[in-house]
Amino acid sequence: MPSPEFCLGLRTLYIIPSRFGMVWLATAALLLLVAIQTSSNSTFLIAFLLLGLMFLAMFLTHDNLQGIKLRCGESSPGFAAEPIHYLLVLDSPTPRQRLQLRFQGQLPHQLDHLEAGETRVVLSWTPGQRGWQVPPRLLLDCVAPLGLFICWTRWQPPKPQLIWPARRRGPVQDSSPHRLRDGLDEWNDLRPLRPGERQALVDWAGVAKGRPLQVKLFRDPGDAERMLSPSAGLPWDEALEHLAERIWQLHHRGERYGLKLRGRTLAPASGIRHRDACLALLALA
Amino acid sequence: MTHIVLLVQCLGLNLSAPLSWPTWVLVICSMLKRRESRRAVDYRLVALLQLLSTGLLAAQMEGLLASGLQLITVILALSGLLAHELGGVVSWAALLRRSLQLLLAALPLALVLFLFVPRVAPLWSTDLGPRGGAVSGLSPEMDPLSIGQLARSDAPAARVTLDEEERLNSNSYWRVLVHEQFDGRSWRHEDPPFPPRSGRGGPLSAGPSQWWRVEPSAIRMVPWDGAAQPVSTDQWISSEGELLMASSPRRPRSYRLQQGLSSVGWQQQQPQPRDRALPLPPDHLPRLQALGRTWRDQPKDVDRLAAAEAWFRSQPFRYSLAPGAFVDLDAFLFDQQVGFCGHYAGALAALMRAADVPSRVVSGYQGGRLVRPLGGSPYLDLRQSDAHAWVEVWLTGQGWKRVDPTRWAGSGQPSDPSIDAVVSAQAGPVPWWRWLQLQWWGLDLAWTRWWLGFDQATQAAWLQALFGEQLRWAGLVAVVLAAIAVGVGLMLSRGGWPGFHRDPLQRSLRLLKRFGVKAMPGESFPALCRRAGGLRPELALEFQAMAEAQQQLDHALLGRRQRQYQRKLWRQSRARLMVSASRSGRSARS
Amino acid sequence: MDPLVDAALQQLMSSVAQVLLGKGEEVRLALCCLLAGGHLLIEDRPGMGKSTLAEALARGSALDFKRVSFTSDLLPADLTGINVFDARTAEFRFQPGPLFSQVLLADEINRASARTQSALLEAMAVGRVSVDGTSHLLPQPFFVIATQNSMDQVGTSPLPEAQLDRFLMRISLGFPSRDAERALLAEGALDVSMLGACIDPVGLQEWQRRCQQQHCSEKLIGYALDLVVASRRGAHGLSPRASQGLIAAAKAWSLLQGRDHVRIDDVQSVFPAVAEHRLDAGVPGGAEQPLSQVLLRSVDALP
Repeated sequence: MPSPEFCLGLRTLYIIPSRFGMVWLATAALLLLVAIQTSSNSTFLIAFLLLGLMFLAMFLTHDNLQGIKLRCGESSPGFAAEPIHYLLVLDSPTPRQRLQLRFQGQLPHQLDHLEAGETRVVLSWTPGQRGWQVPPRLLLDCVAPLGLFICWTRWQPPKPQLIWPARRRGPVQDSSPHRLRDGLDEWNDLRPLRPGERQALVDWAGVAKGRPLQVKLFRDPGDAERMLSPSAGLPWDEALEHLAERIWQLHHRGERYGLKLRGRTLAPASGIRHRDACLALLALA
Repeated sequence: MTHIVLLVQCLGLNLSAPLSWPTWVLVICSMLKRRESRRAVDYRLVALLQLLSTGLLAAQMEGLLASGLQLITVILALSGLLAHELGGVVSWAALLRRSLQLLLAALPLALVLFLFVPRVAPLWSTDLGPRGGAVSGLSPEMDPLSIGQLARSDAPAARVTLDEEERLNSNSYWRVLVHEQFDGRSWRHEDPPFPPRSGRGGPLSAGPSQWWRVEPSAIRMVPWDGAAQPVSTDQWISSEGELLMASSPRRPRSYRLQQGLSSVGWQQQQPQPRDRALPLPPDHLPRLQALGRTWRDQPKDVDRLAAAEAWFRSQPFRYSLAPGAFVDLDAFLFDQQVGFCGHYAGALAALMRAADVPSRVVSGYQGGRLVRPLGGSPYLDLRQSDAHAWVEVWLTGQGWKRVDPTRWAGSGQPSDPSIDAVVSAQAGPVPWWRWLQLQWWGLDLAWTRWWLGFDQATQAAWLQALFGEQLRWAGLVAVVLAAIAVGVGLMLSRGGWPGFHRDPLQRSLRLLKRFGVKAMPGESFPALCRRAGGLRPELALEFQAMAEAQQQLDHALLGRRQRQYQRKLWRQSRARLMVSASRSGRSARS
Repeated sequence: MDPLVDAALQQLMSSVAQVLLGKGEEVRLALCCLLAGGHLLIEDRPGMGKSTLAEALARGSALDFKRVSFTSDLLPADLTGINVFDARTAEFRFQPGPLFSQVLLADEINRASARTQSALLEAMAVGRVSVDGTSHLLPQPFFVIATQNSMDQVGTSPLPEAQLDRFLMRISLGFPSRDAERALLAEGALDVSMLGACIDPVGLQEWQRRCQQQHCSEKLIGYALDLVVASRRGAHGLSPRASQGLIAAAKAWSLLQGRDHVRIDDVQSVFPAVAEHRLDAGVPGGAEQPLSQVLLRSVDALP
């Protein structure tokens, strides 16, 4: 579903002289005074040049933002209470100079140069709660090319982002049956060599110590399969946070796990899709 | 880089001027600030400080060289400002191009303001000029020897250029100082009082102008021809016929004079009692006083002057720049009879006073050399060696009249006009460095004439000529012009921003667009050209050649010659494609 | 045709292409991988000519060729060799395994256990084998062509992402085109055993060295970086090793094109082979269109 576009134009852009612009203006006034006192043409021209540049900069700074279209991108989900990424798409018909984006109360992100066409910008913000959340208001501003004016706009991105519960270490209910099977990875046992078997399997170290020729036997470590569910006796949200942490860890160890939550069950599996499905279930529970 | 240029200019400052110290402080402040700059705000402030110091420098140094350096500083400061905004990723050349572009864009508006914003006189009278500094030139105390020393110095004194070239005459007398006080040994000058402000500035006239550029000197009086009128309120003429300038004499000065329609009043100014006084005891200079008194028998002052001339011509006077020491004027007149202009003028003025004719000594310049530079208009180059002294006597019915007794001296050199200009007379072929200097002065004077000549009076005259009686429309016109200037500026700054490409790739892409071929997402240039070749099979080879040359330019490691060669190949195939593009465009229209 | 590309290299390419009819592009990629000093992974069904390609490359460049079929009971020691106890001298003697060859065809690599796989991949990475604490240098040049069949998942351990990264390229030979197959049926391809050497190992190493000296412009590096950065927005970003590999492969490709500098076209040509197996985590055909193509389209190639 494409999200609505926000176009930067005369109605949505605000512009005022920056503090540097004021100092610039004061400098021009000082130079004018010196020029009058000394009747120096060059100083007059420099003072007027400063004024001219200031006037021009007003249009150039405004131009730098005008015509940009903002759109929400497809953001991937993230954990609450951690900085997560929100994807914005900037569509500009012409190249732009340096501009700065940030969510209210968050660190700014600087774009040194905006090419013509679509540009994806990843902004970070820290959500407080799980579920579908909308980021704070977006602030887009620029002072280019001379820093004399500051031009800005505000926009509330409409598209919500899925926020998983915050990760917190803690107990979860975990049932994990173990089973063993033959494999090749772990050395397990020895048995006498039968004729025709490969030399690589012979325990040569033992032979050197004077033992008879013996063959090594191997086993694979057991593949654990776990079924996770919230730990009883904890506040609901806290139990979910523990689950989120456990799922994340199990996924990184590459283990197989399932999730049982309020009557919904996800069968044991592994992989990113499975992990995301489990976490989404937690986020919306 | 910017700071080096600024420092070089600062070295030319005269430290006794009140403005020079703030300028030095500003330049040093911006250097220190630059050193510790980390944030964008700091860098911008440095650029602004640089611009401010350039403005102050411009107020103190106005010559062509200084103005050129100031222009460079402005461009560099502006690129510094832009460089930070661009994140320091652009090459120097691109940065310079961009700041020049911005400067050009701001220039129309600045020029409209410059031309139309009414100039006002200084708000309060401050002397921002320097108070000291090494100078050479005429001194208010005319000791006969001092001019002799000057006459040996080849230092430049002044340069003048006129609207009408034929009036440039190397025989003209350029007056500077009037010495009216005689104490028996030297002639002293007395500073005239500052007139009220309203008394300054003559009536405007449309007569021809003179442009002067005068080297630093110790005195406020500047050379003039005794007939023109000052234009700026900064200058006025004293009752003795001296042209004074309010700004400090310790720096190079430029001014414009305009030939008045009415004659100037100083020549008819009645002599003061001091102009007749010869406050000498009778035993001092007895022979001079006695000779002067013998001429009192003549009833008319004209005849007394003629008698003096006859006496001078009858004596064996010789001209010499090194006459040796004298006890007093008696010794010069009656014993040694060898001397130069200072002696002759001082002696004649004393004699005339003894004969009861009001007289005074005038010092200034005479002679000079007409220079025709390759650039700029011809000008008269005055050196300190052209310094000269003559006498003015009051003749009833004629007013103050110039008399040059040096011309009477020495029958061996009859009426050599520039007899004092020994050095310039001796100078044979001009050495190359002098030639360069003369050329440069020509340019500098032209600059003075066209740039520094635009002052309050010129502006008023210019507006008057443009609008006549409808002066109130000038404001409206200025506003309209300012709007146009802003429009032009925006077009310059915007149009050039993304559109101006020297990059072969961008230009090739524009060309391909004319064929209706636009790049697909992620398509490389050769692939694009292959696709274009598929659409226009007859041009496929040409497209391929263009792509090959472009790729070589962009990606290969080329020497300078190879690069030029590939660029030529690219230009050729692009040109051929341009031709077929316009041909197909025409056929599509018809 | 191109003065830069030695006739020997050109001849090698064409004679290998004669053995594998209609697979000119894949042969070129494989040769490019060999020149760049990387290892090749071939993802295909059986009978597509994987081992023919490996053997042809080995014979054509006069390299020592060995083939190991990876089975589930293959042990690391089977690959690297073992220290055998010599009863006569009462000392251990190192008996080198098939890894000590110059071109190694590791057939069906995903059938072996993870331990055996990693023994191979480690040897590929460091060019050295360590048995019982003694390290033995592998011969140079050392070129591994591993094959796997991802369609057949039963009882296999697919290469993990980190191991996939060690292969410079993954290609797929696929079915021959109709024309190529017609030629194959009508006249038959050149038999691989008939192939003579076109280049000697020393010459090959010289070409590998020249390949590293190919010139890369700022713009080109910028483009490669854009591609890599763009890939990192997705689930599996390209590693720095992958970006190095991309440039190395593009250099080899430009050398095969007879140029002394790399162009964006070269990067685009090798990018699918270099990047796809790192982007889809070893599961080809997951997305409706190859991820590398999507990336190529998303990055502006007109800097």
